[in-house]
Amino acid sequence: MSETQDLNIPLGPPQEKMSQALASVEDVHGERMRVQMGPQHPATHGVLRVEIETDGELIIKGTPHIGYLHRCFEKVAENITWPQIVPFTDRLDYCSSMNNNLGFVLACEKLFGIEVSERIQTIRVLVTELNRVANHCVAIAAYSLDIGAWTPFLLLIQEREHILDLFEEICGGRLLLNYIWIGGLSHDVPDGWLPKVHEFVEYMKPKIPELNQLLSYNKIFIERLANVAVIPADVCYQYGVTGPNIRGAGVKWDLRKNEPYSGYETYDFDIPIGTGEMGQVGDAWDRYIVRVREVEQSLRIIEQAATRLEGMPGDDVKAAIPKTFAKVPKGEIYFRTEQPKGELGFYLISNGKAKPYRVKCRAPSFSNLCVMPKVAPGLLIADMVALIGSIDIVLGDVDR
Amino acid sequence: MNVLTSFCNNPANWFFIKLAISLIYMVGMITFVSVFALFAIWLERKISAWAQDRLGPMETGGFHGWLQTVADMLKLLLKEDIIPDAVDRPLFKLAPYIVFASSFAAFATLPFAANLIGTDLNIGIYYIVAISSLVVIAIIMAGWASNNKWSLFGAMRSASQMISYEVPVALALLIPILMAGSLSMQDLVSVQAGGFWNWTIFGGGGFKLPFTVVALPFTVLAFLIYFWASLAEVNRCPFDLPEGESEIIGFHVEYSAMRFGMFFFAEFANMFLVSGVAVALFLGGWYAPLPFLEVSAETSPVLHNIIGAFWFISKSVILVAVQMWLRWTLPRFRVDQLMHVCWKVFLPFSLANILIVSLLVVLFNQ
Amino acid sequence: MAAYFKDIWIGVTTIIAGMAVTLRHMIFERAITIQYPREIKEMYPRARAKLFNTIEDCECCYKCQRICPIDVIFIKGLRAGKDEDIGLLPDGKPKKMHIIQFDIDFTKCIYCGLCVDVCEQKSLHWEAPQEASTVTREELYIDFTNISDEEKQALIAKDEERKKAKAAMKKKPGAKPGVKPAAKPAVDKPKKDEIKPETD
Repeated sequence: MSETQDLNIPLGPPQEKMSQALASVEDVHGERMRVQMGPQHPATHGVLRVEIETDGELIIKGTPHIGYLHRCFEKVAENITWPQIVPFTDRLDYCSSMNNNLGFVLACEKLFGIEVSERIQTIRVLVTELNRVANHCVAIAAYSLDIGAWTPFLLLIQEREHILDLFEEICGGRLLLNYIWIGGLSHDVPDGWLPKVHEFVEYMKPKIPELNQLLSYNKIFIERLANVAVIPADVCYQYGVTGPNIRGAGVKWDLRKNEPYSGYETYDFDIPIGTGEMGQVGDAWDRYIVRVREVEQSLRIIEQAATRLEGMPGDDVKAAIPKTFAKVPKGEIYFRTEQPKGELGFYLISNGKAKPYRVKCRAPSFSNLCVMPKVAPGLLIADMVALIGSIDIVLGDVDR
Repeated sequence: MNVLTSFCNNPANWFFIKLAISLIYMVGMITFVSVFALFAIWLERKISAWAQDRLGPMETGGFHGWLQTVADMLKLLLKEDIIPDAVDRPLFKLAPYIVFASSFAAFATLPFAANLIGTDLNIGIYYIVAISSLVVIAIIMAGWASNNKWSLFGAMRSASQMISYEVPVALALLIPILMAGSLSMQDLVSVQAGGFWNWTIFGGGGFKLPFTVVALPFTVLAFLIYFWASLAEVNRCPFDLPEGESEIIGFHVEYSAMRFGMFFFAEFANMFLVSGVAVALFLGGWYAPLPFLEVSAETSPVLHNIIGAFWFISKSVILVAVQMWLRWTLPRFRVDQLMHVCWKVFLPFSLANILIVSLLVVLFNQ
Repeated sequence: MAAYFKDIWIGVTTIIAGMAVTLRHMIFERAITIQYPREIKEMYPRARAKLFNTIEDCECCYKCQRICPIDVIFIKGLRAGKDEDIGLLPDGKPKKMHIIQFDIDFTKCIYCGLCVDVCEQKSLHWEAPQEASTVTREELYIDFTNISDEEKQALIAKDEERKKAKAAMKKKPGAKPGVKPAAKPAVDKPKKDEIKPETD
């Protein structure tokens, strides 16, 4: 990791100014205001409570309080059999079910020593990348809403609807999919589905320049995000921030490239990183634009995967699914995949029985949210909204 | 009939007659403002829907859901008026009325047509600028009395924003005033008679050709500054920080039922007001864009007024629609950026603008 | 100073560019709204909208009950007598079980589709009704059996009788060594905790 060398990235001018302002707060103003932002607040993307201490609108301390959506995923998983856990992984980060399925399923397959065919891997790559696009659509859309622009929200939700339609056709679910199973898939690709994927890619491609014109390069939007809530690379390493957030900080870290799985090494795609185009490296705008560019790259992968699938002879997608999970190999494993929000890791311990001994989920949103107390001081309340939106949390993923 | 005539002819009774006419005009204005607010809310929904590839309200009332806002207002009227325990009750109850009253009071000098004006004060525009600032007080009342930190944030934002933006608004309005040399609304309108090339925005405003060409960029600039700054005056996007629904939810977070409806009504009344002022001062008021589209007062005084009101209202509605178009396009500013735009962009530009236009007026006004 | 004017210029141009996008959507793009009760969007064949069990085809194999991650399927079957003929399954084998309970609690169902996948007779399947909402929660607790309460009671009584007879036979040594006692009808949950349907 050559990027870790420079660990003392200096604060940028706005944050420096803010910290000076903070230093003078004590003697100028007497009382601070403590405000509860959430759990019912439109900008916290769910039931997150942020306890903020403010001086006027200047935030002095911001502490996230989580747990409002805790559903005991890890404990529930210990009481159900291996294949039954897969539908529960959908509900971790409900915006990217496919990627959660894939993370858990790959961990299980590695633990049990199951090999799946190349075709199944290609379908998996195709659907997870589709879901990545859907997830980033939601992330960007919700972010635009946070910043106050309404139209991009509905336009992007509309694009996402096309992906959900594709999902409904392939597996029946729209949001919670349960498509990728241990050793295979729940359904094969239906006839006439791949041309629709190509159609979608062609439809989606011109939408990104339109989004850039409407939102990304809008001066007001840039002013709101550039130099705001800077998370430099060293802070990312310290707090375990991953996904588009660490790439926004200028670090080329993507498990699809660094630790390829499911045959990602055979696809041709780039990893977009934040370059400090509009302000500092690692500011909110960088994190935002990395998502937009990732959508473009995902579309490239989707196109390649769909083209490959068209040339492949069909096979039984359920061939490698074990007949029974009553007896599985003993052992433990940690496997991580690149989920749209960051690294999704599963640590599984099997004691050879039908039910896992332990399932630990390393959720990306949780680690990404942890950075908030570090970044929050010196922001304005409006910047806090920009911060929460830019790290793209889903509370189902944070609380599990 | 004779009784009425004699009553009218007696100068002692003129006060009562004036009072009666004022009351009638006032009731008419309230009706107009309410109907306009209902229409504008419907229009806003439609514009947002069209911008987002949706349909908007389609069911209520049949054709494109034209009764939707009426239904919503009925719903707001019928809902329980919740007043939280911890609020400052008198202020909390009073605030919505003051908001509505202050935006409505400004309609008194808005010239809808040649004779359709509450009163043609000789300081009409000054009165409008002054009385519409009262909204700030009401919003602070609402925010403070709600006893909620978020509404307090909204109120404080609103106060700082509206007071700051008074300055560029007033400075931009000085341009047409300079050119017309009067503060009376009807005078400001009447100098723009005779086709759109005489409108103040196109350098007209009572001046003839060489001036028009030279002054054109500056009058357009003045109009743009006024239009943008007035968006902040009425808390519209991109300056809708007091509402800021994704950040602080707004100063009216504790309000419900018709009290909330009053804020809503006042917002749309205010939108019409600022558009109306822009139309009166920059866009030819109640004059038609082309002279043959009007009916002269000699032919038919009644028709003259009706056609005038038609042009005034349609121009204002177009401006309101542009405000909505902007609102559904742009993100929101941050507090410090809002102030930056006000004091570091609008203010120097409008000051320079005043200087240049005054020079031009002096040069060409021989 | 140049940066100041450049900023303003960028601001103005990008705002106009954004407004052009919304204007284009206002004028040229068609609305995608589906006016629901009048226009109906057909669901795809695999759509996981509502579970349905064709009870005539059901084998009563309890596989769906066992695979269900949240235990919302409640099945009770009674083994039919050797001499009884209660129809054939879709794959041609004779039916062996009377089903006296086949309930699904849709208030808890997570629509994962595992039960449909394990069903060998394809009796449990997805359907896509356009109107699946109900007024009360009780309506979401759906009983798929097609027999009346009297028939149920009769079947239970018959089964009890047969069990007694079996037990009596079993007690007699050397009565019929080849025949195993009928599998204990897995009345409730196989192993898991008792979960009663909520009918509040």
